[in-house]
Amino acid sequence: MTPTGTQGFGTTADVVVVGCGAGGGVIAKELGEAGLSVVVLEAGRRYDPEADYPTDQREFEAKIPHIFAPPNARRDRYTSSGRFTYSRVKGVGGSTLHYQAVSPRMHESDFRVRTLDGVADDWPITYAELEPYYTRVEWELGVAGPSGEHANPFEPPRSQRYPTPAHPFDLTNLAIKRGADRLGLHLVEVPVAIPTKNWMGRPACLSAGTCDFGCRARAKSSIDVTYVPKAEATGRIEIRTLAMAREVTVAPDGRARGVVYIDADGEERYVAARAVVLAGNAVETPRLLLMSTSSAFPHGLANSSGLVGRNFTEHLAVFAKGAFDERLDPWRGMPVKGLIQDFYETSAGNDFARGWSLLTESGGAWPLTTARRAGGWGAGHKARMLDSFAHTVGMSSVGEQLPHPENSVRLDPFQKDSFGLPVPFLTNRQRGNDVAMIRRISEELKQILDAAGAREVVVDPSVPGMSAHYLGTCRMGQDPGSSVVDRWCKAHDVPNLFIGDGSVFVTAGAVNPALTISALATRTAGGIIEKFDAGEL
Amino acid sequence: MRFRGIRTRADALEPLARAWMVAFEGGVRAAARRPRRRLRAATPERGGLSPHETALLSTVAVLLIPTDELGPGAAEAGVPDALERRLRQSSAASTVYRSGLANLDSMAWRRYRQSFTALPAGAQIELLTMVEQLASPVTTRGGKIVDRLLRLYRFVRYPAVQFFPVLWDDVMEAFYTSPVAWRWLTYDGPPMPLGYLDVLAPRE
Repeated sequence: MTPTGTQGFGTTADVVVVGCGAGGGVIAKELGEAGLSVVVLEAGRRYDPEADYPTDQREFEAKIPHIFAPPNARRDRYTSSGRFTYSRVKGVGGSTLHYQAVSPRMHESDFRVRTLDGVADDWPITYAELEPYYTRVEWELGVAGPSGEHANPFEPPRSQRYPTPAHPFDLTNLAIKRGADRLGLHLVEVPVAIPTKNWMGRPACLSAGTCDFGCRARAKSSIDVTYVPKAEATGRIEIRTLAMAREVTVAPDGRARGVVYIDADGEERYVAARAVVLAGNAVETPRLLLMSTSSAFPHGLANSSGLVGRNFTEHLAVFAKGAFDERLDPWRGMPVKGLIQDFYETSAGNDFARGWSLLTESGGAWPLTTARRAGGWGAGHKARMLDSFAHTVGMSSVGEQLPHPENSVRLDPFQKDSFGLPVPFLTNRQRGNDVAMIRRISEELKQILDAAGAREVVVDPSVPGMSAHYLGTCRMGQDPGSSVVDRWCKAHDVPNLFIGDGSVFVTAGAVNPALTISALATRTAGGIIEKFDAGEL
Repeated sequence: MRFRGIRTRADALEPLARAWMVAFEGGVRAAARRPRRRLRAATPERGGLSPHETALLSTVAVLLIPTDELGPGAAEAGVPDALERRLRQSSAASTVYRSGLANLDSMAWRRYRQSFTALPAGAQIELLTMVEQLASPVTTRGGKIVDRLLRLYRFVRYPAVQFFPVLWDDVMEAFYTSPVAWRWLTYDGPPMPLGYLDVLAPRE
């Protein structure tokens, strides 16, 4: 279904990639280095750290909420069934522009949850198969992590050490460590994609603590300062920004032919390619597939299983805060420094399956942000400010939400975004296993902060969507009836369509997913290159 | 995300405010015209404030973050000037401010037969507390729709109710990005470009 008039104007590339984040940016670089020509369609713009991240100004706190905001609110509209907060960044680099770069690997058990715990499904690949790709991505990003006696005792086997040494603990982590030690838990330095040494032409982390709002120093290894420059250096990658993909077109033989997109001027354009990779994230990818209907695929492209958009899974994020008597100055250094994985695996003592990671979390402890949280006004507000500013530390969880087919991304039948495209309609309800786990996580967070000596602990109720980790909507599997893509992330239904983002996760694991998305994308790129070499694409 | 609207915490005072509203609503409506005329007569520059509005704004800002034994306040940090500069740049903000200030002054006239600026601090704080209360969610026996309508009515009827959270956020923004507040709190920012080479100790 190529729109009339666009066919003659389209460019042709070996591969067209939709999305330039932790998946698409990685795939583009790998394909380019292998000699393939790639057009990347990115719905957002480029960000220039010096011009766009005003974290060196006195008024920086007033400006940071606007840094990654869309130019018009209708561009990023979504609707949801029940309360759901959908947060992501569109731009070259995707949500890694905004992420805190927390980069632990998934555990071996994560790939075998059906076998081990009788829930959800096993992945069609094992941890061992993914390990070399984890290593490769870690070295590209210069991940900093602990080793030797400081190593995480729960970490899966590694073929190589972390590329750069771990970030040392700050005062907040030393405070929480008191509590963890008292309870016999292992608070370790969290692996982060923020090198502690100069890395591939970028400076070492200078502990400014602005990771969430873009790193002005380019020390944080977001995709725009790591993979993207390497991709463009090949001379074979063209990144088209402000290009919103609208439809994947299909040839009569059932192969994907190219992608129709809307450019910055609102014009419809077309890129033809021998292979198509979707890496928009676990909301945008199923949305694009569901919008790509044709006579061969009346229910959306690659959707013969009916599972495109199903099993929309996130992480169970519980946030807690503890106020301490001593000054902890939590704004110094990265927002997340500590990791506890004592609760990662299913435990016989729990009435639910799987587990969670805990992170220490002290982002945004600056004056204005603290004041907005403090509430009140007048003398009461000032007293609260003196109590909380510099004295508050946070913790959060990354709990494994189990996939559920009724949790889904669908097309809203009525609402349209600024391009006139149907907005995503998101459903994610916390089910029995999730609710039981959240209860335990909340108790555990309170215990740790109490044991650390906090004079006041507040555990917030878990709000769906707050993890910002969205997964599972085009899952991998051997069986075309119960999965959307195969073990190489190729669509079962379409021989030249691949998915390169978190949509392919069979289960969510209990770690921040960006590193795994990039590792899977590296592997998927390898599969695509092999198919080109074999003449199949 | 971490940036949400401000939250009002004085829930305990809500019934009081509701009683006040019922008792004084009619009166406020009747009195509203007088000070409004006064303000209009001052003919401020486009987007700017009249001298009386400036005095009102300054009074309220200083009430929101007072100078006291805990430390410096909005006055030392130059918050009123910062707000005025901001209003000169945005006529939309200026409209919200001016109608809010006028409404606040009219409440003072109705209740105390005096301008807000002439009231003792205790009465000023009492009035601001009432305005804040009027902005908070309502629960009546009439159900959700009645609650929402009542809240909407308050927003439309009392511009000060809309104005208060906007003002408070602007005051916080001006105060907490000032060197005065940073010294008060011993905050050693901004984060960039220096960063913190030693995360365990304050910056030199």
